[in-house]
Amino acid sequence: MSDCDYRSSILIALLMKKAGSILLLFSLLFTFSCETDLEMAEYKEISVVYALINIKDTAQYLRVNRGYSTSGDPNNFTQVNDSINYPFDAFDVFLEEYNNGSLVGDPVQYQPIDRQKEPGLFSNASNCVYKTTTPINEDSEYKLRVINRATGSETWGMASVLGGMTLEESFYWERAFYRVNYAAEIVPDYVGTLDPYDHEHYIMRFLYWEYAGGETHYKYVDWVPSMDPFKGIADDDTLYQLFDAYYKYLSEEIPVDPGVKRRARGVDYMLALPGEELQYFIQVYEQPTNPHFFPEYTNMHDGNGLFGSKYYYTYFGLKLKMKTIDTISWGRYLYHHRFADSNGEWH
Amino acid sequence: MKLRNSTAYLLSCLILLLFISTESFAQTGTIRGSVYEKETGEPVIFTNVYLSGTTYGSSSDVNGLYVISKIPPGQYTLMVTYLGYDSVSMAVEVKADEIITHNLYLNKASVTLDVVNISAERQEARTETKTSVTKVTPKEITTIPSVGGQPDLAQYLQVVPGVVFTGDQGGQLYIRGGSPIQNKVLLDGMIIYNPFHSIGLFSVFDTDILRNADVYTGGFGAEYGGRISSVMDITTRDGNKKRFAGKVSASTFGAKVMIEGPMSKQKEAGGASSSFVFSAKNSYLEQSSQIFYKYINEDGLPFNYLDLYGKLSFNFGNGSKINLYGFNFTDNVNNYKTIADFSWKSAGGGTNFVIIPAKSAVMIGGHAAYSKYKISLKDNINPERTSEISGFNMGFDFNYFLGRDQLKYGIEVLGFTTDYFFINSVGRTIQQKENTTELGLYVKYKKTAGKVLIEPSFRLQWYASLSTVSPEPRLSMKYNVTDHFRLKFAGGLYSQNLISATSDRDVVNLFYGFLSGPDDLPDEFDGKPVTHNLQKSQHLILGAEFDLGRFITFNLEGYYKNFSQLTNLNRNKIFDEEKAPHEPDLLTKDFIVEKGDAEGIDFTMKFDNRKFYIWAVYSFAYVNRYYEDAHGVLQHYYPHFDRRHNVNLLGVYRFGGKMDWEFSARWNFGSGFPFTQTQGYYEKIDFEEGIYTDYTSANGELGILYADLNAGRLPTYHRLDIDLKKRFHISEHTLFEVDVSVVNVYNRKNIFYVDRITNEIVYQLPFMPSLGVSLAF
Repeated sequence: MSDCDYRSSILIALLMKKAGSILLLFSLLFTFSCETDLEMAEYKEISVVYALINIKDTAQYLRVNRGYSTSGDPNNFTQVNDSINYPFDAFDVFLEEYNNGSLVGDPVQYQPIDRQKEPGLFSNASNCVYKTTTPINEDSEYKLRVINRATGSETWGMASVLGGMTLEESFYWERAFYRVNYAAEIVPDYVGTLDPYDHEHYIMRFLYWEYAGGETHYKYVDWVPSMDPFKGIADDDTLYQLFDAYYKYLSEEIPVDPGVKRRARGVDYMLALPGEELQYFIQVYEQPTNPHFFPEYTNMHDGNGLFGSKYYYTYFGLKLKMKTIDTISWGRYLYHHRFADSNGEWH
Repeated sequence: MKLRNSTAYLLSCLILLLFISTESFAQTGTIRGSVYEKETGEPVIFTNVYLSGTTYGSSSDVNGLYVISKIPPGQYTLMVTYLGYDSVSMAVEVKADEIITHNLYLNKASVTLDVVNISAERQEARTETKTSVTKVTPKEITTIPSVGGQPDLAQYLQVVPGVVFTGDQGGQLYIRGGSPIQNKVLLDGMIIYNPFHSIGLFSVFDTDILRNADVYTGGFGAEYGGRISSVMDITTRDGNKKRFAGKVSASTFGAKVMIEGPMSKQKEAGGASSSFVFSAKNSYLEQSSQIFYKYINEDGLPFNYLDLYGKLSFNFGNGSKINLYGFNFTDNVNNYKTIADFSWKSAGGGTNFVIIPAKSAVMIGGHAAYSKYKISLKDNINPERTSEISGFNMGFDFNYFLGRDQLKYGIEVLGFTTDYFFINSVGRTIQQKENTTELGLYVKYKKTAGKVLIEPSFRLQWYASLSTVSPEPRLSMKYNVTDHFRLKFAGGLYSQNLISATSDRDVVNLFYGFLSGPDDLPDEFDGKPVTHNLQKSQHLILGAEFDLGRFITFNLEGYYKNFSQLTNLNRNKIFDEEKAPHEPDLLTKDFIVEKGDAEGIDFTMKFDNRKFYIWAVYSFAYVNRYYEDAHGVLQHYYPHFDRRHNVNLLGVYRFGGKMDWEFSARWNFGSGFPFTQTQGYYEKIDFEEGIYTDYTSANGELGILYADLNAGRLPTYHRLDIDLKKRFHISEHTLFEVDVSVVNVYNRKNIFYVDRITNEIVYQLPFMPSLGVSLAF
């Protein structure tokens, strides 16, 4: 017998015994105490779309899931495939290119493909994603239209394309003195719509040759800087500390071995830039939530999710300046690692 | 208005007011003095003092002072009547151009005189405009069922018409559509920034030291400024002037002690005296709940507070007096639900005084105080946030009694510093440290013309930090249609600078912080330029009072409050304004402009006789808010405290041979509060690996889809509390009282909020019995 049933039975018993009116009122109130159902929002079909475009990629992908409604614990439905996923090829997906507000060419249609989904909180029984290999133009704006074939409802979003960026030379470091190094500001040659100070992520991969026992090995060390030198570091001291940390890091990663000679080769610069929609999405959703309030960001209309752009590219084999090579060779951190100087000689 | 011009304007007004104070009134005489309780020397407030057989009369004020002026020379009988006291009369002779002082001492009556009481109240109802104000005294507070055996102002306020209370744990009081920040709380003239503890059943005020609380739910006069919705003006009483006395009490919630006594005894009736009163109360609910209320929360209810208050009173023979007081209130919550560490502390001190010049008909009141308040909140997931406000307020009031008319004017100066630090939901730091000065001048005139009482007033409020002057005319009126039927009106313009550190959209938020009005509001709102940074409102209140027989009074008030400009913390900010200048204000500004209104009807029925006391209140109200969406289109929403129907039924039955038993019950019914429903859930890709996230194959986290803002309604709220008291009169001065109370008698599962992550419902207080004992000596 539930709590409510139990109370109701008490009420009936009291009525049968012709209890006094006060007791009756009291009992009625007692019965009311179990009526606390929460009014639910009227069900509404909501498509959740995730799609990014990248001018450097040969294929662009889109994913669309289904929102679901429950008055119980929502975690109980995450493994119910029908609740979270649409059937295969349930949508017509179009990408439209706009230039100065005008549609350019014909809309490009995405094609459905099966893709293996990672196991986790949600069911991975099926996972239909949509793909197009159409080239993306950097000076354009794109509109994504996701149309449900069964209902005709459309979810759409707009995104600007993140422009290209060129890095022709490696970093410029001041002339090195014995066991001393200096650094100066770096200014990349950047073309694009995004503030270059908003790099989400970049990796400097230091490339070098290693000579030992008559053999040559190509080696590298990846460094994720604690600060982005592009983010307008104004004073030399801060920049000095940054690259001082870099040399120190290299000295820790590369073992000192008197039997080995080395020669600095260059730097790969791996750059990852989110478009502003993706950037805002990440900023918003990386913030903590609480039981009452959740941060929200979506640029999908009549639905939810994200349509944005990214720029993800690696500049391979950027050459080091002579002064940089001397710093590596003669600087205080890597002096014992036996790197050749700018004349190609070892000390 | 230019700063220089406005300052000159204010100074001119001040000089004009000072000139008025030198005016003399001739050819008639004046009687004035104080009314005291003979046993303790405590002033008797709001009692009728009149000349028998004439229409000359007055009622004592909150300090027990009365003034009857413009009396033709002659022989009269001065009379005073008050509930529970023997009436006092004395022969007086009034001479032209003379002010005579008569202090009156009332003895407690052996028999309670219902009729006298009713007459006194009725008389006051006819002579005071009393629109939208509820006078609360300890007598009223102790009539309602007390939670934890401790009667408290916070519990009584919940039955005041127009007041909506949002929750037992972390809830707040909302008064006729106004949020807590729009309610000014004064304690002996000093601003109290947070009057309620985090467990919303208790205020910082000890009931045993309260003399009176005036709760203005709207339409208040020009003597109050700096708030746009309501005012609570609380006065504490003096210590016992005749003997050392006190009270100790303990309950399952907490304990308190109050001691009082004379510092220098009054040598003769009407002579000088001084006294002290000290009060300390604390909660040990964190410990006691582990024993008594473990069923509510396995880890107990870690709500802690400690309130200390002390006051020294110096009374002079002619009615002049000065008080010195200090307080220290603290509150903290440790590890409760999502709260890791929450605390606030408020401390301050000040003085207030009344000066009665011997040769002048003026009564001069004044106050000066300094208080400081700091709150910090650290929850399990969000960064710590802090808010601090400290400042002084001082003022002078000049009061003339011109026969049945009254002129009052004054000046008030406030200076405060706000220091606020907050990291919002998208990691943007909002920090504000601001020094602010406000200056207010007011004048108020009460005119009694036959059956009509008219009370126009005007306030000029200058906000220095915003370089803005706000002229605020106000008016209060009453028309005594018959002796038993009265019509009343109140209205006016109001402004305020302070804004809340929480959003009106937060359902539960203990973080009750303050900010000064920002100067970077959006340039436009609702298609019109934003010309000032103040929050402003206009009130209009119409009402009627009707006496049915000797014991029943009906009161009906309709009100409309227009909040023409409101400033609210922007919950939608996701962009940094400097980096996203093209984004709309709604997404970039720290603060947004809103507007709103509140309209409703409050109906009150009161029945009061020796055995029964019944208080029934029904409120019907709408509260609306409007904001601009990202496209600049005005959107409507109901704030979370919009309650359409609110019913409070309070019944008290006194019985036993010595009437020393008292049973009381309170039933509160409220229609559901608005809340934002969960539209649904979805698989959210959080891009945890940033740009490298493979969103096509990632397995996401639980995401929430929101329905329209506050478009849903929680189920109705209702709760029955009962209380049984028994008093044991051990000796003349010793009273022992046992109090057994039950909160939520039928264990109604009232919803407080819903945890969206699990859809789990968090309920307000369940069935909760408590026991309290007290000993007064």
